[in-house]
Amino acid sequence: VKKAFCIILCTVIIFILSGCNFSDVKKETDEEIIISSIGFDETEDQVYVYAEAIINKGKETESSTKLLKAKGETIEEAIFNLYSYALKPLYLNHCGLLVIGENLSSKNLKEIWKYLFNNKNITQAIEVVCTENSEKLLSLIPENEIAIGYEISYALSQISKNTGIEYRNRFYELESARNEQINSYAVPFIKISDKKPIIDGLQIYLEDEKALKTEQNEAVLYSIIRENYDNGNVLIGGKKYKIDILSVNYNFNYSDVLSIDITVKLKNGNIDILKNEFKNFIFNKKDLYGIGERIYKKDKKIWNKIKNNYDDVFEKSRINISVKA
Amino acid sequence: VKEKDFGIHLIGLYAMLIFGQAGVLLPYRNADEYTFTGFMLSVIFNLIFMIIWFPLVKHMKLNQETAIVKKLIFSLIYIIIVIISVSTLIDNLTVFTEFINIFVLSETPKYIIALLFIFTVIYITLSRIEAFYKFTFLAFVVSSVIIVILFLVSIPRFDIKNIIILSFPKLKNLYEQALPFFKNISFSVLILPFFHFLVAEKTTKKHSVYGVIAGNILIIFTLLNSVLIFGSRLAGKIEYPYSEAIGTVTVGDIFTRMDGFSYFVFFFSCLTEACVCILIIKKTAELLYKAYFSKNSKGVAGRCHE
Repeated sequence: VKKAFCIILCTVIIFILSGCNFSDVKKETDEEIIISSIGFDETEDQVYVYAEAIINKGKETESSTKLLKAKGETIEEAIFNLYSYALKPLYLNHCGLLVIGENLSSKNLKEIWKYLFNNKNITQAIEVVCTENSEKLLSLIPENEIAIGYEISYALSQISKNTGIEYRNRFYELESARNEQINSYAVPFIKISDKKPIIDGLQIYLEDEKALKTEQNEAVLYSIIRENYDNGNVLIGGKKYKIDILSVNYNFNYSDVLSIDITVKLKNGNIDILKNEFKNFIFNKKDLYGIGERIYKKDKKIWNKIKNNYDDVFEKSRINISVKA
Repeated sequence: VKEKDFGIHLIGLYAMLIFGQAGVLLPYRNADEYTFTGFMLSVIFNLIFMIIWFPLVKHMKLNQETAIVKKLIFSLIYIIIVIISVSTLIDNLTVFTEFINIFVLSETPKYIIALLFIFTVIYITLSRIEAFYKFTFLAFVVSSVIIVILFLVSIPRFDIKNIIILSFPKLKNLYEQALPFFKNISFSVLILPFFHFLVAEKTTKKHSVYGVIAGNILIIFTLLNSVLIFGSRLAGKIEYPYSEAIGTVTVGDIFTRMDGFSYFVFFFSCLTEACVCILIIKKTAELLYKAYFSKNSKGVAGRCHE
């Protein structure tokens, strides 16, 4: 009995010490400013950083938010200034959303990824979205959640359930895609309509450069090709369809030209709709689809032949996409 | 209490020793899609290494009656083991201090963290050996429960594509992936028989084998957790992939940032490894002293009950 009591006590202590309820709540409210989301924008000569701070007045229902701002010539300087201007230290452990302005240059975007990678306080699971103007987005008033950052995160999970798109926009997912043979990734694009955030397709990046902006319909097809897709409901052409099982197979051949065969297999779904949609789908000249990584994983012989001039090979490649039951 | 009653405790101790820092720090920087296959290969290498190494250590009896050439060779091996134990101890202290300073006590000076660790290790090693066995067994049980629960709650974050192999690796690829794991774990395998024969002399070899297997199973869980969430390449680039992977897991609205649980596993394994190193250093020093200076030495190593 004594032993069992000791083991139970140890387990309880572990839970207490690992949680933030006992150790951090006082610290969060009294000594630090809780940040729910951060955003970045860029003009010709300045970089702007925004942080949505939760002003906690004791009870969650009485909490409000305030947008902290700072600027600098570089990302590092802007972040340094943000920390300097704040009256209390910033508590980033619960920061759930990163907003990147669509005008951010590749150089600054790389700096942001580096900052997130090295910052141990911000979770690697932070969600990333793109928008026209980060300040405007983070200034919106939340309707259901305590902060606009959390509201956008929640909306993303809801729209993901409705459209079948797996956004894969968490920082570690983007960082993982950046470490693939071809550095390309997509983040949800948020536009502001009627003072509300609306998810409007995907912003696709190649080598941290803005490469393509897709509409919501195209985003579904893009996600299927990239296998960022969850079975369930799919929203195509404004209509909702149910897909039970969907799988994507790739086959590659290379003699003088790279031939890519993509087969989308569908079970219990409307094949004609998907066939029609893919008929009109135009592949970009650059590999924004993670195809290079698939060639590398599936056929290293082909990859070794083409990797040095992959961009040219991909541009001249023949891509055939077929939808089968 | 007879020492042979602690067989089950020693399985836990050896498992924590093998788990060491590997479960929290691996995979390393050059990890690719064959990293998990490489790890499985390293497990086989380590088991073979242990099967060969164990009987060799058993026959390294060192006393005043040992023939002079053998005595010199064995002494040299014991001194090498002491050097390895000292370096492992320093490595544990450094990694532990760094880890705690980054994740838990960021405002506390590093030397305070190091002192806390040193005092805890000294306290445990000065206690009765039975207390150490009990501590490591409890640490093993708690760590296993934490690792398995964290693995289960991480499943929604897993991407199976991260470990699927679509083409056969070349032997060179596999070797490159297996080597960091083999290196990391082999130090524990190297010193384990010395602990077995010098400190826990009345246990059997099967406890060591079970312990090594249990430790490797724990590493499989943590490695899969990191690789299935981050993918091999990213996991290899992150300094503490296991903790960071657990930091991404959320269960409902209440449990977010669960990395705090993973810290316990790291504390326990670091403490166990450090204590084992100190006990080996202490017992080896005694053995060498008896072999060269004491008049009634009968040798310590090789007294196990098979």
